[in-house]
Amino acid sequence: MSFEVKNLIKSYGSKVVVDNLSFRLDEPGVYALLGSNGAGKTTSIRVILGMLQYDSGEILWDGKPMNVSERNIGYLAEERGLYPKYSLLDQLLYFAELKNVPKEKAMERIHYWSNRLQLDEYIFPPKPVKGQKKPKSNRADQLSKGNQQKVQLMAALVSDPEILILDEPLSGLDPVNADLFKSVIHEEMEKNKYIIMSSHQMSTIEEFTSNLTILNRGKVVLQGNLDEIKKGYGRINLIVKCDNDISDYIEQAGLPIVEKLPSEYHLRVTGEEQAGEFLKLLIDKKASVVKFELREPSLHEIFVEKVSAANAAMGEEAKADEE
Amino acid sequence: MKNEFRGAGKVFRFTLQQTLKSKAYVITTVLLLIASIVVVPVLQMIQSNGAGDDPTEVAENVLKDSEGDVSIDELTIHVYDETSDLFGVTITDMGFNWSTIRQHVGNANVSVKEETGSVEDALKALKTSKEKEVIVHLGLGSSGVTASSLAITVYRADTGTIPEVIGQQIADYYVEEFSAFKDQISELTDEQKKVVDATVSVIVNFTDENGQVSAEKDTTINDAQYALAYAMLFVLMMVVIMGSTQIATSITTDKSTKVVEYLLTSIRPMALVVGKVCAMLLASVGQLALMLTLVLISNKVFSTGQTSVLENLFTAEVWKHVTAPTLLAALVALVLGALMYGMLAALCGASISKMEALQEALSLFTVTTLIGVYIGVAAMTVMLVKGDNAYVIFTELFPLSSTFFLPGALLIGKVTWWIALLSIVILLVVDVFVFLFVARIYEMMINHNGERIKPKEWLTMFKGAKKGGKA
Repeated sequence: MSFEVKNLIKSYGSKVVVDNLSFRLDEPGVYALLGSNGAGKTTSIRVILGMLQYDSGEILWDGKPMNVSERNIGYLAEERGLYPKYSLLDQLLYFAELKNVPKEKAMERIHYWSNRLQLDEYIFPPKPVKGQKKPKSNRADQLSKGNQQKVQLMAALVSDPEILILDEPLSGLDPVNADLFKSVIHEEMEKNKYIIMSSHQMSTIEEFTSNLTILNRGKVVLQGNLDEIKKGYGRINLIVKCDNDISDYIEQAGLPIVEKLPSEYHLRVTGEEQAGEFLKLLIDKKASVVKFELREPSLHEIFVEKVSAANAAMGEEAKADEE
Repeated sequence: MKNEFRGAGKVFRFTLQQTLKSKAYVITTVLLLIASIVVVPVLQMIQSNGAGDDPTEVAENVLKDSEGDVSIDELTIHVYDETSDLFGVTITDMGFNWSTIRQHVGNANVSVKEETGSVEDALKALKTSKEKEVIVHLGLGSSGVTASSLAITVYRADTGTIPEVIGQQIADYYVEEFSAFKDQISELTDEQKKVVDATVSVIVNFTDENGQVSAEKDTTINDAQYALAYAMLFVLMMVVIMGSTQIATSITTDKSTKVVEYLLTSIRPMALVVGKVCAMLLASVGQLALMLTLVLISNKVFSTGQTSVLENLFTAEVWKHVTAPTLLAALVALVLGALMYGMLAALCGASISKMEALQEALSLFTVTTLIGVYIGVAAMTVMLVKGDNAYVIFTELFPLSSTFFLPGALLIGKVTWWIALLSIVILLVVDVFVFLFVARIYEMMINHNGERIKPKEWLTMFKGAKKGGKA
């Protein structure tokens, strides 16, 4: 099985919001769509889900045009939504029914996920006993935002989907719940699901996948395997921490300072050779080196660089058009 | 197209279940049920207060046109009393005085003749008569084989010598007179008393070229028919307004809570809207069915006379056109009309993203609904006074008004079959058009977030809707 998006174009009037997007998942795993706000991630997802028509391109499942109504797709939307006044159990059963899950099977999965996501007391509140404290409500409007998000994730998982689309899954979660969500995503990865995840939290994405596309204003600015992309950049980030002041040595070596923290320097080098020379200088000067780390740029750094470059190029193009 | 509706049944079931469980629905239902129980005693009070009215109040207007001038300078009223079949003697023999009309009119040239011959022969003679005369026939109204009320029929020649309004006024006068007289009748059996207590049917008829009574030309409706058609219109208005408001609210809720994002991964927008429209309309119909049931129970419990409050209001004569085919036709018209309004309400709901904007979005819809209702009410008044005319036919065919008017008109037998069929076909065509219109723009609207999409923009969206790919 494979999932593929080919040359997808979607526009609103004259504004192109997704411009020639292509990517594919040849085997189960996670694919990431990255981009700042308004980059076209959610629109791309809505098109993949069949909510929006697209102008041209193809969305293929196993090499054939994908019919959303024939596929079992779980979706966690960026803008979370639950009926505020209806019982949570009723809603989950309804969502499962719409995905053609038999009621018994749906109940089994709801029990599993409500236990796994620590929502039992809300989804299956005990019947009120006279004289005892009133049990917690089973309505969405009386849940915290984090718990509502968990119920929403349950709705996406209740059909045990073959394709799982998660739009900003961890946004707004506290660290404990974020870890819980991450463990659920890992669990789904182990079940060999095809997962498409969008985010602008780079650290989240790096934890799950190496395959990604970075979008900026609808256009693809970077695409491929993260490890290979990083290799292309080389090891140019140098982090140095010493007990004594090394600012003179940095100046002597002519290294640009990217960031200066109270006890360490983040420096930019041209490669391993320049880093080695700088280490030799520190040893010669008898600097007490506590940390010397040479690494590839982070996804965050690549993202910022690519998006900034794309925006600058667009600005220049617009300027040229005006002239 | 099949895919477009897949899942509509599931939406229907869930929406119906949640609506029936909702506090708003339960509270509205309870209030309506209380009103249903109270309405019968209130009607009874009104009926008992009205029974003692002085007939002279009505008589002052007898034989006068709308400006109050006497419009007939001389008139002969031939009275045929055929009530002896039920009572053994006629009402006239019991002492009912037909001549009082002369004193109240204040017109010496009105003469009243109590006839004993055949009314059929008199009707034949009426056409060729050059005199200004009418025939007043008092007989038994009937439902099937059982006489259930008295009927006063005023016949006039189809020559225009005696205006229809004069015939109606004569009939109305005698009904009022009889209401005052009936309490003086004693020694009646239960069956006879039931007939006497029932509301008197009033019919104004023509005679055709051969002197035969021409039923086709008698297109006016009496008070009881008016009451039934009006009640029907009112019930339909409630179904449409309550159902449509709930439809729009439900669709806006889906959008404002963003649940629609999840729903649309499983079903198409049209399945969503069709499921909701059907569920909400059924919920409203259920509410009204409950109301009507309680009205009937209340009628049994609270009616104190020989005839119940509703029997007084809707005489058996009124129900004679209520047959399986007319009921079916009325039901079809009702369903098609309610669907049309329901789909339009769904569009209004989809045109906004926030609940706060719902009232504004529904304002044009409410005005449209009320226009349909008022056209229907006016047509009923026209039928009461003048009978069928071009305006009434327009009301029967115009989809906005036929939704409310046609079912009632069918039940009282005041619409011809070809008009009814044509009206249903028009409703069907309009429904198909509305459906295609909604299908084309609903998807864009339901995915829209932001300011309200105004109706004039709907058309732009319809024209601009392009065919593209879809997963």
